[in-house]
Amino acid sequence: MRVSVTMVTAVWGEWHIRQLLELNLPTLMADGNLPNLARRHAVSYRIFTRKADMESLAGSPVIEHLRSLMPIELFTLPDDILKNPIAAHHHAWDEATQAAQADDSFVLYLPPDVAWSDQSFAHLADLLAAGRQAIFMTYLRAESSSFTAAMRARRPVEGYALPISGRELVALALDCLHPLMGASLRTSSRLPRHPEMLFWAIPGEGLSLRVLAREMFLFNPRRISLNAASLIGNEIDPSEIQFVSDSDQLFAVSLAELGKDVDWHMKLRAADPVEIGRWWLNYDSPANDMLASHKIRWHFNPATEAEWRQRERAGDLFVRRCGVIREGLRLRAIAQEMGCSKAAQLIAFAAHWGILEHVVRGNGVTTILMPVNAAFTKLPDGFFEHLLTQASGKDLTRFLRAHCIVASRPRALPDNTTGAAATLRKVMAWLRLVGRAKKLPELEDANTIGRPISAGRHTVLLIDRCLGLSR
Amino acid sequence: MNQQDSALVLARGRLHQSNGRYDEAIADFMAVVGLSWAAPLTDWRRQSSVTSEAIEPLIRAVRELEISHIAIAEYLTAMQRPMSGYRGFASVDVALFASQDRTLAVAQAYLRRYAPARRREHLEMMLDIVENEAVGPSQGPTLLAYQHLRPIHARIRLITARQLLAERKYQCARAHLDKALGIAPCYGPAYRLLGEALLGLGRGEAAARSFDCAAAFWNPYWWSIEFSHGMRMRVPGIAVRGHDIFFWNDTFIAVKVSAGQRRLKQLTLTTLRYAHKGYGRWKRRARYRLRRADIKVLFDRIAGAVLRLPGVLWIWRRIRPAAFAARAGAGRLLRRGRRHLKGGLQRIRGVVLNRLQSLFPRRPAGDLKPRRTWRATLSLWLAELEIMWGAQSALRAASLQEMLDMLERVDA
Repeated sequence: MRVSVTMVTAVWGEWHIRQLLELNLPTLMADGNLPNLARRHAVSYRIFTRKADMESLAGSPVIEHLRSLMPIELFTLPDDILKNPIAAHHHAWDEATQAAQADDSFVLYLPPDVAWSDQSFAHLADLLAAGRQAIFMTYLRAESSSFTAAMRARRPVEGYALPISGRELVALALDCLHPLMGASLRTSSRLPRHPEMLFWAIPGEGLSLRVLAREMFLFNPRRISLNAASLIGNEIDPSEIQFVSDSDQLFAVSLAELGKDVDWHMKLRAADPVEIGRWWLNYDSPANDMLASHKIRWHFNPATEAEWRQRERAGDLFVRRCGVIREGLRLRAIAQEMGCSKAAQLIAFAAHWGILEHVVRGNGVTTILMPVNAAFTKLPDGFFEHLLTQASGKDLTRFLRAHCIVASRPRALPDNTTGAAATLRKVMAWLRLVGRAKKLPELEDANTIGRPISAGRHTVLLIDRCLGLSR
Repeated sequence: MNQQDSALVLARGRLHQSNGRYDEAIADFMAVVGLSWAAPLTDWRRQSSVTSEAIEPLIRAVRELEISHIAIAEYLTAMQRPMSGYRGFASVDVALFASQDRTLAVAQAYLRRYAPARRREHLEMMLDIVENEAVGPSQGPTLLAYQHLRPIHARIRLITARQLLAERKYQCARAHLDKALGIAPCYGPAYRLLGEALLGLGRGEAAARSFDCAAAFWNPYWWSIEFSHGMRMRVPGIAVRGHDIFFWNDTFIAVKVSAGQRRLKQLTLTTLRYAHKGYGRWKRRARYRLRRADIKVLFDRIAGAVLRLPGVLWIWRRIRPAAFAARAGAGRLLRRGRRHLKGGLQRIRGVVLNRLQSLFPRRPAGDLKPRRTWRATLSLWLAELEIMWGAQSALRAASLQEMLDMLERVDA
């Protein structure tokens, strides 16, 4: 399958233009990168720059050489928008995305200060040919002065291409690692306040990585809509998305000066699932869990399976814990808004006391039966207080679990249903889950109150009685 | 070095720092401070107390390097690699990394000297450096004894409470945290520690409420909010038992917002946002961007007004017959009552103004009155209406804690 791809870069200022012309484009001109992609797909390149830099870009021999591979268009960024660099990048991306949407083309966001391993774009070409609608990747950040000095030493005497293999590039980037990346280790004492990625170190081999939220890299704008945080905003079939997870296939290094974003990790802050869960909620996207489930390997030596699997299992557990707490905090907020303060407090207690992660089973859609405050008055004397003690772990887990119906592991609907069960059946039909449902939890005499409420991927139903007490 | 030269060198230092050239930046800052890196510690302590504009940027730059070094050291330890193999600090003098004790000593001296008045962010930075010794008796009196550190007292109390909790002194920790929340009622981390202290004291229900608040006040930008005289705002983040909480006319007001209203508000905001975006595209303005921060207030107010309309209509339908009857039958009576009310209010206003005149000097004749922007006027006007229309059996309290207690007792 041949598709068309619009690459877009926003670049201005001497330093960034130098990085684009001396590092980014030369690494992309390696045989396994742009030449390969341009051979197999219809590629065009849009560069947005300020008026003052237009001449230096247009007259560059590198750009001239690149024109032999693909059509290149240069656009001017208005001066007033350049005051906010992030807004300028988004402006360029928006413009290119709209144009790509009109032309039925994929969009590839290409930052200027990046170096690519050879064969990276050949791998992208494979994935596009296989029908992927969105391809994600993330960059390792390296300290710019030491990294560019090392790359300059590798420049060929003739030609523009600067090929470097994935493993060589990983090794070099790790030698020049930016401190922000060092702070992003799971064991770091000063985790950044935007923990968008977490690392686990494998001595002598590389870094295992989990990405919690990621902006777009290469996608089909006709299939994928973006939300306010520029993340995927719509539900999409996971088989259409690919996160490139092995540095042998694709690897890129982003450059930053020493001290860039250092205020993100100035304070003592260990990796705490509650804080990460709360942060994650702020960068919400239906695709986040799917992205976070990818076990990414950046390695400069062959991977020893047992070593990597051990860290990946630790990553699975930690990411799951953060994800469960994120969903718990989402439900807590909804509970308070609906007036169910007791339920909200129970959830908050369970989240902060490390109980919530044991409550939820499976990763799918869940229906939450949330007791209203009056329901707690019907509990046996002292039971609610007992749930909120340090020794109540198992009871609280059981109590909370009785109020969750995990749709990915549903139980059968009974023939003899109460009013609540009948309502629930309607809700589940509405959710198109009835076909998969097999059994409902014991609803006792509980009745539902009001209409179902949507909470992320989940559905909340208010009920007038607490469940799970008969056990 | 005269003042003009100092300003130029400082500006150059800041530019070097933003470009990651720490050696040059630190050299510039030290030239302004008038110290060499090898100067004895006593000189550094003395210098930290003088009115120098360079001491904060100097310590900031040094601290940023130290933090970067700590991050890389932790990474290299995890990778089991020596520091010598790392190339990233090639442009930095290694002697700068061996100065953590000096930075700590300077930060301690900085916090303990009163003059000159310090800015909050500088105090916070120094507190970050000395974080583990906020209650250390070896360093003299605790930082809480210094009144000029009041802007960061809540943070000092949090650090103190954390240490007390580690020693299982729950009651003392709780006292510190209550005081911290008295200063900064939206301080999320303090609620979290308070929850742990209360749980240690066997007060599970109160602990759960604290954890709930900790989750509500998650945003670090809210933590330092101190509700002072004249502020009018919604207490951010938190909704309790379906109530939104406002700080209005120096009291906290809880306003019940129904689920339908919340849905409608969300829907209105989304519609407005997309309508605005669509309008911008329709106008084909190449530079068009949705400036969220600028128009968010306006959106909120319009949405708030739209949300209140059904309620207003509902109330109007019910009071319309009575209003018409009153107008027809008791017009004269109402006019007289209104006249008396107006006169009374004017008399009160006269008395109060006379008293206040001595406290608030008048603007000198000839000075131009600062103009309020149309956005501020519109936002204040609509905000007032929003509060008035939404107030269904509103609860009022003097403090946020009291308000939370009242909401908790609603069932009882």
